[in-house]
Amino acid sequence: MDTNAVKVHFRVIRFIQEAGLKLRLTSLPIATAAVIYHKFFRENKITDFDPYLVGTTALYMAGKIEEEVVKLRDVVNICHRTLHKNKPPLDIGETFWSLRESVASSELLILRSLRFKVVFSQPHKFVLHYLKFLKDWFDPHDWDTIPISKTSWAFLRDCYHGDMCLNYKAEHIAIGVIYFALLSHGMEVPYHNEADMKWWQENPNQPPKMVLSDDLTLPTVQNIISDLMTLYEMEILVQS
Amino acid sequence: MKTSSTKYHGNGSSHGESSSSTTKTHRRRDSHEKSNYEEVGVIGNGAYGTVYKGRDLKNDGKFVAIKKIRIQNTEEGMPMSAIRETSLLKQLEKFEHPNIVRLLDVLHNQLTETEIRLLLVFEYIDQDLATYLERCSSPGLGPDRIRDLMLQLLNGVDFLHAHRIVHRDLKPQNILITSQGRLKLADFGLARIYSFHMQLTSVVVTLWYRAPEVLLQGQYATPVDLWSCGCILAELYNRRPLLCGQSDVEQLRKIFELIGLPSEEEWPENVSLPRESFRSRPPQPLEKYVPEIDPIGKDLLEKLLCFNPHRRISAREALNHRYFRDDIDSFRTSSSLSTSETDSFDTDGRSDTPVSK
Repeated sequence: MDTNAVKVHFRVIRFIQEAGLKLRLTSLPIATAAVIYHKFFRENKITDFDPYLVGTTALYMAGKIEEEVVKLRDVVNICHRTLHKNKPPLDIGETFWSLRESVASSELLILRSLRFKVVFSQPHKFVLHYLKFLKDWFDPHDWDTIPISKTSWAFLRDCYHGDMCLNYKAEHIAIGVIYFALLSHGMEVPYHNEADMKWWQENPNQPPKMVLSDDLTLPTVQNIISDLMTLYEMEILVQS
Repeated sequence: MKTSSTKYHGNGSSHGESSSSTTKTHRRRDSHEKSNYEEVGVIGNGAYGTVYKGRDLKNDGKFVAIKKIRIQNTEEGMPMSAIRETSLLKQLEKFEHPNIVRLLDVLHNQLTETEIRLLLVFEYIDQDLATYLERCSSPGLGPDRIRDLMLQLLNGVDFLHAHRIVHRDLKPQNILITSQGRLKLADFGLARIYSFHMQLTSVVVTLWYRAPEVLLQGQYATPVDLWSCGCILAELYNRRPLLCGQSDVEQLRKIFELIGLPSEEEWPENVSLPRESFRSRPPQPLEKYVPEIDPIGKDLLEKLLCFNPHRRISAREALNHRYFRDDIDSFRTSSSLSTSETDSFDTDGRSDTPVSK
């Protein structure tokens, strides 16, 4: 993908997250909207469709998919406001109705393009369980003072600015963001060096446990981290 | 057909064809819309709409079953239930469960301003359990074949329940049997999409496999499917339906003739009929209704046809019933299975509290 398209996607995801928060959507539907958006543009050319219209529609659909329904009226108003901060709020008139209609018909277009496959496995629940699992290993004081959870969640939210979510399994992204959060805070999982296995690996001799991944390798973790770092470099480019 | 290799199936709202309502124009539009599928005939008029037999033109003309559902396209776009349910069905596909009919494709096209048609494309299987039983010659299926079918049926039901889907309408007509003898469930998970259409049709839905709590219009959940499994188990032996009521009340009366009128304490609260509407009677021995059943099969059937949905056997429990075990090693397998299961439950429970952010 050319850098120009990457920059556009970065900005649209930022727009989706901002509008999503204003619509009081929780992190899961916002993440789902981002996945819908990336999936759509993996199969379609960015020059053929207005990315902000696709982003708005993805947000609206994600509300339905995750059962946090938002009104189409509100989506149109808030997305318009987010996009045009200096213009007055949208009046009920021709522009409003045609925007509304565009979103409604884009919904059908996206559904067709994604062939109705719009339910995704997201890393969120994995991050939650993995953090809970790790917490017990840490000194309670360290865990309370060093914001590992908060940083992990921030990395998770930011990873949607690129199309990482399409390239890795949800549970791998979950481990990747926690791993990166630990690195960023210079933390190590206690007794980690004494153990035979890395904390994120699964012991093949034991029955599978839900908090550990059995098919994740260190290179994949490193790829996830390097993808994340590329995104943060992109942020500077996008803002300049 | 070949030249019009558009990326998307059919044509969408943008084409804006005239919405004339004569059947002729409809037919012409149909053949034009589904560029990848050619209709060859009608399979059946189900409770929820028509099912067509078609050919998948992209796949060497392989037969498919196309289910058409009309849904209302509201002011708010496609209804949430339609999006959610179809995408959940797509999500289930990745498991490729052997006892679930394959959903190959989902398409939609716009009929009018306010109506959209969803087309669900399934693998085509030409035989359902009802015809399978009809074709079966006089001595019947034999206990081994019955056990095999029942195992596949419960496997499919357990898979649906594990994915939070209640079938709600299990019956021989939507249980399919492939030419290799594989059993596959069809017609599940669509109830919420259908509900709109249901109000418009006065279709007679069969009551014969309905659980008593559904007939009484009480609360219901996954156990309703196990009741249906019980009725089907009996039908596999008898090759005719177990309880054939013509109305809700008559169906209930037939149920109580078989299992006896439940006690006052067992009668659910807030249901449509009081217990006093039925005559008190004792339960009948199941052998009277299903003469060919063996004692172990009878035990399973009794547990499936339990009035109280909370005490009715679950699909998972039923799969562990000794009916499905060979007599010789039944003890060994059952004990090793149960220990490993309790172990894994223990480890699951430990890490299940939410993390503080």
